[in-house]
Amino acid sequence: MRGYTERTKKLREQSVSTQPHISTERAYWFTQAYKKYEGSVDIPVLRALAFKTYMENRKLCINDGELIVGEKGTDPQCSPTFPELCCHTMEDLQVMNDRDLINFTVDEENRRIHQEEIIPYWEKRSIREKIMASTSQIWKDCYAAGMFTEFMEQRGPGHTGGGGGYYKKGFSDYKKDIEKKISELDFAHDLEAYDKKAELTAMSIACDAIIAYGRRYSEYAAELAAKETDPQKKADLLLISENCSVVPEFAPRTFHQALQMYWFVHIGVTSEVNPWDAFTPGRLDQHTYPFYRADVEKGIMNYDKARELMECLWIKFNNQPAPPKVGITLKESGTYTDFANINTGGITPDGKDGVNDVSYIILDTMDEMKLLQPSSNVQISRKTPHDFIIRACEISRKGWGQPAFYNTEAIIQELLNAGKSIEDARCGSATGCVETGCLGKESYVLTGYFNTPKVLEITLNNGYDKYTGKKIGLETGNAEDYKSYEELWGAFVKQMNYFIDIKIEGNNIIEKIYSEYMPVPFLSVIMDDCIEKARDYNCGGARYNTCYIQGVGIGTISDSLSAIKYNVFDKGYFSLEHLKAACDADFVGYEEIYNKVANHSPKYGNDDDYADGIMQDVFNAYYDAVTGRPTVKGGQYRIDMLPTTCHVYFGEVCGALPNGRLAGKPVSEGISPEKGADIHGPTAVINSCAKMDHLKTGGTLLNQKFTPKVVEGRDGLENMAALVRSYFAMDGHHIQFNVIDRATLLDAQAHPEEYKDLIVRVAGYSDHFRNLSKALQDEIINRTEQSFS
Amino acid sequence: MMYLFNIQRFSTHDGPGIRTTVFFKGCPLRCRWCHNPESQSFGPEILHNPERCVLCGRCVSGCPEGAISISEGQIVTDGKKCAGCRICADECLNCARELAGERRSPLDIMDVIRRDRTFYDESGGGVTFSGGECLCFPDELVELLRGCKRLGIHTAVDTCGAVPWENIEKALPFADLWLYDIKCFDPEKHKELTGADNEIILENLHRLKASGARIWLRLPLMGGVNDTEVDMSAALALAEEIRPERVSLLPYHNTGNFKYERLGREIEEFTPPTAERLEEIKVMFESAGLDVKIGA
Repeated sequence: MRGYTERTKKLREQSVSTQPHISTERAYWFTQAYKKYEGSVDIPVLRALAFKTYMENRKLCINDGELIVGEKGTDPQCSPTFPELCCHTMEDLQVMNDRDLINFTVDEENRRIHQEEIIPYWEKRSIREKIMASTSQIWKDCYAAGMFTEFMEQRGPGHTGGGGGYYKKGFSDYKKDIEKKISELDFAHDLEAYDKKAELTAMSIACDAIIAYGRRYSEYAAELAAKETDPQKKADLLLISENCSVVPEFAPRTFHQALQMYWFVHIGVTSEVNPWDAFTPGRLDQHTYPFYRADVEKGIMNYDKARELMECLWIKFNNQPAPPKVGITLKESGTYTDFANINTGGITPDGKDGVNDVSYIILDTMDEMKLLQPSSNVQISRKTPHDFIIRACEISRKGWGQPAFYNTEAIIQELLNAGKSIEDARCGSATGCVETGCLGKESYVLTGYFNTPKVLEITLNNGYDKYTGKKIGLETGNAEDYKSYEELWGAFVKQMNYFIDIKIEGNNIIEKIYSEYMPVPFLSVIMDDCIEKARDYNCGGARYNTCYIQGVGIGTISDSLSAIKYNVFDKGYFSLEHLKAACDADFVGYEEIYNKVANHSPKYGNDDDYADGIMQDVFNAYYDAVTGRPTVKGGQYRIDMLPTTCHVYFGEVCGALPNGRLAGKPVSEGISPEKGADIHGPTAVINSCAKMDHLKTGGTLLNQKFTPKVVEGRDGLENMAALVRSYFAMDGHHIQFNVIDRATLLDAQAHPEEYKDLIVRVAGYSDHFRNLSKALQDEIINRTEQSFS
Repeated sequence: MMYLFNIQRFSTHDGPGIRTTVFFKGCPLRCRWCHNPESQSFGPEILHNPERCVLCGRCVSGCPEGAISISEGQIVTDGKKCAGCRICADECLNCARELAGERRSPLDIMDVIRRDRTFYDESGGGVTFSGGECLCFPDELVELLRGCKRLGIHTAVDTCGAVPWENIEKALPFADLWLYDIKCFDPEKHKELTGADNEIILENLHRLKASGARIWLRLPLMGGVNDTEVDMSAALALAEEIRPERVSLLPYHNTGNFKYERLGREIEEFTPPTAERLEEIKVMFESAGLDVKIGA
């Protein structure tokens, strides 16, 4: 059993052995509040009152032996539902209960409540319904065709991380700031004063809600302590009671209270709405180190105690599965993982090395716990000590994908490039999968994935989509019409811009719907500068506002265009029409063409400037189509290059492609090369990937798979660290490793029962191999395995 | 005419750090256990994988030299006629054919080498020139070594030593590290195992040492063949004299066997020393205060 102490062994075991399930408790209390207040108060206040009703009435849970308290649901592995975002049908609940993967038990009582209380109120008025009623037919057609996905169709915007504010202030302090702001409102001159008052009032109520929740825990722990006969358990409960009488109402005074403060904030944010599944403490090591240090100096804290507390916190993260999804959203993110991505290391706001004692405690915890959540990473800067990166590599080479590695200097430059101040940029992080943002100061919203290989398929079919049998693109011409590569390229770019327009047209509607109907006053309290501006986080209140569209399949699209340019236009081996016919036939009967495109064409990932140049062209065209466009919240659009599990779904909706990728197979993931295309080893892959201008993005994702032999021994560790450092010296954003051999994965696929603990890196996260779809398992098995000669 | 049979990037077993290893084609020795048999001859060769071949005959009709035929249900390539044009490999729909032996100019090779400079810098790596026997091409080698030095790239020369001293001397000023292979100490046995005498090899090693070069001694080990007490005490005596910076024990492995099949050559099976024997040898060198590594 894993765990540094008996206590954390038991808690971890409970966390990993409990079946995920659903509770309608949140839905019930939110519905009660909506019924009571809707129409009589402004929407922000309505949301705050609903949140408060829930926090005042929800069941409390203190698991045996735990030292940090609070669950997102009623107990470990319990997910609440969010009917105001997406009101599940009874059939949805059945599917969630029955499906083989990512299932959630829904018991009879919860089904009854859902049917009797939730559905009647929400079925016609959820955000999902509003979105479907407001978006255009062409948007719906493109959505159905898998040209793009929509992140906010079942989840709210968010998934951002917290800054350092709530370690210095309690919510009673925030409340004072808010009250002061209300008293300063000038209704005579400020035409927005009414809206501001509503928002500030809502924020104040949200503070009351979280304070009440903390007090309830304090009282509950005291009650349990009074009944407890075991002296150790009694002492633990009294300590919990004491901590919860301080936080969240007041600023934390000890390391333990600092962790509990974060956890209450986490529960608050993720209870208020489903903010893209999670929230993250961001720079946990830097934020909590002052408390650790002060406690050590007082003689009340040491490594062992801090380690146990950190493990308790880790288990709290793992207790919270990402809320259940259905439909396309399930396909783009088919996992229990909630993407609470903790950044360890990096640099401090004043530009010094950020690694401290808590950073090492976090790495030791990560190593011991081996849990999917939180999704931990390390930030590596030029200033990061060698010992730290070696320790991170030592954990990473164990093979289960954590920690991922992020480039601090790249993150900072990406943020500066997006107009942030240097101090804010240094507090930047990669959260969710790999997305860059300023913790505690930015609303950076992923809006959906974009299927770049599909743009080519539509182009070759003159706007027609084979998957849905509908015309969804522009009529730019048939395959036989293109006389040069440049003509085809021009048509491809035209189609890409067209689909990005449709995506953004939908985004603008959806963002407006959220800003109108889904304010998040609690999250707004802790995000700079929502109080100052008296505006909600979902309405442009944050200091920075960014929307991302995530490009998927850069390897597949680059190789496809390269295969066309090289074979059709440079060499004249066959016509484009002929190649299209081969794709339509899934290359059956076209073996010669297949041989040329699959085996003898320049491919991205080999440090070959021909193919890599095409990758740069596609990247730049995508960048130009998206970056800098205005968002509803007053920010700008930017691009990311990451897939979660969407490369599998996007592959399902594409026929065979000109690079020889067969129909229905996954497209390439992140910025990794197409599977099997890269044959010149990891340095060539890294060089190819570094030809992309990462600093113009908000994050890219590179997976590398190694056989265990490559990284064995001290030399292996040093080489792994050198690969990371090299990629980062070339401005790469992120790299992560799977260290496992193909034979093991094949065996795990054949005998899942023997590999219950096998965890692999998927995209921006790790997952249990047995929880992946067959298609995704195959995709990981077939990723190029880097070994040496 | 100089041919390469491979440029291996992310090479981690031929010197320190992350390296690019440039494999020259052609070798004066014929070690019976050689795991890169395609490195021995000086001209281009085709490796044919019968497991992938469906006998479609595209290579036969595609070959401009008429070097390929089908005989008794098998593809036969006439090495004398083959010009190394690679057309058969490109034509093959099943990737059954692979060309070993490509002509590349030193400038072209430098283009590949320089691509991984960042990795060399971050890992303390560099470039290793290997083979075959790179010192069979001293002029080209020196040009490459000099090119690396201009870029500040660390260089290593991996050699079997069976070349005229003048060739080594030319490379001396530009090579930072020498990976020097000794296959066997007994002259008769050496001849039997590698087809050549070892006198020049040992002599060159001593001269190299006298020149002040940094040396890693590499000992390929075949169980019961060249790992005996007699062999190893001779090796130890030499190592104590030379005092190399490292002794690399390279136990035999048969991962190159498939290449013999694809070249249409006979395979001779060897076995690695037992783990116990390997450990004994390691301890023996270590007791003499030498840095020993199994594998590289």
